Amino acid sequence: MPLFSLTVYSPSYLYIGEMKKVVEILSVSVSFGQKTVLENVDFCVYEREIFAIIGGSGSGKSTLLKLMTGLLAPSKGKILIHGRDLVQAGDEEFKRLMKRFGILFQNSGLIGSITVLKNVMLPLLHHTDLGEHLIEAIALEKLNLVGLAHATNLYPSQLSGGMRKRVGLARAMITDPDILFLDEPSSGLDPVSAASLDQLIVKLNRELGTTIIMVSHDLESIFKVAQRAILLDGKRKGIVAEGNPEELRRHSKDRFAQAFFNRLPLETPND
Amino acid sequence: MIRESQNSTNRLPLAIEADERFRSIIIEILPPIHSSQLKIADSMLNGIKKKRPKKVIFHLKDSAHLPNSFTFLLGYYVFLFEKNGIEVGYGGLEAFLRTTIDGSKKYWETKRNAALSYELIEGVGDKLLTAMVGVVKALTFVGELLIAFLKTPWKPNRAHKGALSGSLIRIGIGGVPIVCLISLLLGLVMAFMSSIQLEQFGAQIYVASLLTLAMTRELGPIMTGILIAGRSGSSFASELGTMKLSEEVDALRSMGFDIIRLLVMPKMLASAISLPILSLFSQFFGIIGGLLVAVTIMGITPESYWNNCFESLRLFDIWWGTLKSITFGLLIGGIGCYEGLKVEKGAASVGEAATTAVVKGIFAVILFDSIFAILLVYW
Ligand SMILES: Nc1ncnc2c1ncn2[C@@H]1O[C@H](COP(=O)(O)OP(=O)(O)O)[C@@H](O)[C@H]1O
Ligand SMILES: [Mg+2]
Repeated sequence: MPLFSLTVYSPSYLYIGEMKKVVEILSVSVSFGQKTVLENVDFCVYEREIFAIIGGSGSGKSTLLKLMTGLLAPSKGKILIHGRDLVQAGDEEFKRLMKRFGILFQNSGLIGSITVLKNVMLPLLHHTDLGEHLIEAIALEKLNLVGLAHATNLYPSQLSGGMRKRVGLARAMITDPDILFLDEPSSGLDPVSAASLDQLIVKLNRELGTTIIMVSHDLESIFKVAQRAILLDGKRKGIVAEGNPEELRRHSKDRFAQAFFNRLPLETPND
Repeated sequence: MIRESQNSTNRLPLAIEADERFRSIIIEILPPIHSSQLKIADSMLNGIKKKRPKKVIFHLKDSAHLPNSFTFLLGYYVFLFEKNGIEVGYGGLEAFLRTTIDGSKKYWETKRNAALSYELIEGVGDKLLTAMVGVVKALTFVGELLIAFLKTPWKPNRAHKGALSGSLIRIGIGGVPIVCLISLLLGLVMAFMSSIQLEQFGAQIYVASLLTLAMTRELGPIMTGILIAGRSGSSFASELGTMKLSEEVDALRSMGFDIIRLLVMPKMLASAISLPILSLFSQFFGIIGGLLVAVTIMGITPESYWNNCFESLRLFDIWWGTLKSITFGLLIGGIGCYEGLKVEKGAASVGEAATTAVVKGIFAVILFDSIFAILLVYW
């Protein structure tokens, strides 16, 4: 029995019926010890779409990304990537699926003991037999793309939070992944860098056809780039609204969703 | 890995034209260059380098956007060509080519100079590692078991070279001063305390055998174990705990690295190699501490001290101590890493993990020391 009403808006210009599902989350629950974070969550992400996961802090957004990337196993439910069950997949198949992912972690996840350049090179060093100079050339291109070509020989501890995020993004992009998972990519960035990040995301999506799944608090960027979004509420332990961000902002009946998308305070805490 | 493009996979990025004796080669760049063609371009250019022509001419007909990775690759080869005495020229859109390629060539020139020292350090570390592994190989059958256990998962991959040598240097060499100092003080105190008792029986000379037996059989290994549990066990736990918090561990896992093999094994191996060596240091310095007291306070000559010392020294004790130290090393490394990897949330939990690692590490060292003692009696 549903505890809340789910509002779903699909903008008319999206022909979802014909699109391929790349990620499917089927009644997934996650608990840490006694504490349940997500309960019976269901949604899917389509090929070549920019999909946003939104919600208050602690609502389980990062947890959801870890589920989709196989770094965390659900307590209940199924996760399908390209139709393959992530939990059931054997070692080889799992590795093959992972190679098509690029992940930017909330804390960047840069390896502290090696330089920025090596960090960006690492996925290709590990996965391919390309010459080191060639990998370096590719890494330099990605670092250029995020505006950090001058920082190659620095160590992660010498960078600001926003710079680390951008290095993490360069590393996530180096394999030209099919699916890019971004956890709060614009946090710690100045408005100008955040705007060029939006541009980069759209460009990757248009030119390389990369599916992008991003966790974000940055409403401006969500309205600008995301085609579809889900809103998580920590109290209700799951999705409370799903659809095009702009339409959700205008038409959502859910009080929490209205407050969230219009950046308004909630008078009484929602329960 | 680099994604195949829809239409440009079968097209070559470069056209190469050479006179029949490969004296000069014209390399025509054929845009648009796609990332899937980089590997081919790389091997074509490498092939040209091997032919050792006198002159290479890069040629670009129409102005086009060249991806950065491609110009960096060209810059790399221009740098190599010129270093090998191959003349490089430009044709077609000459000025454009020259400026783009020169820019990236500069990167590689400065880069190589900077990299040299770094690689050197790694090289020394790896040699040290080989030497150390050689020492361990000669040890008892447990030592051999250990190596067998560690050799299979430790296939040095270019992405994680240097992990073991780094840990070895930090635990092994970093632990030397504290272990030596504490052992020396311990030797001093023991000799001083026992000198009063021994004097009553006129048996001062036995201070040497007392220290030798105590240090080699018990105190050397166990003191080293406790010190390293405090020093390195906590550092393993906090290092891995911090890596968990900063999501480094997740990042490595997502790239397909095996965390046990990459982060845990080198630390366990490094402490299993360092501990017996540090324990030998400890034994030696404890005995030296005794010597200092014996010579200065008790009026014993160094010769008689050493004679007495060697009389009571048994090779078996040293082997046994080494075996114990290897076990302690594995325990300390394993417990430290385990506690570190248990960290989930919050900076405070890193501190907790470090404390727990020390407490459990010391407990494990003492527990296993007792087990070894029982084994020795009932075996
Ligand atoms: N590994 C973990 N162990 C225990 N609790 C966790 C763990 N990971 C996340 N949590 C808890 O789950 C909730 C959701 O966390 P998270 O997904 O990081 O939220 P956010 O939406 O801010 O990204 C939080 O209350 C957090 O404390
Ligand atoms: Mg988060």
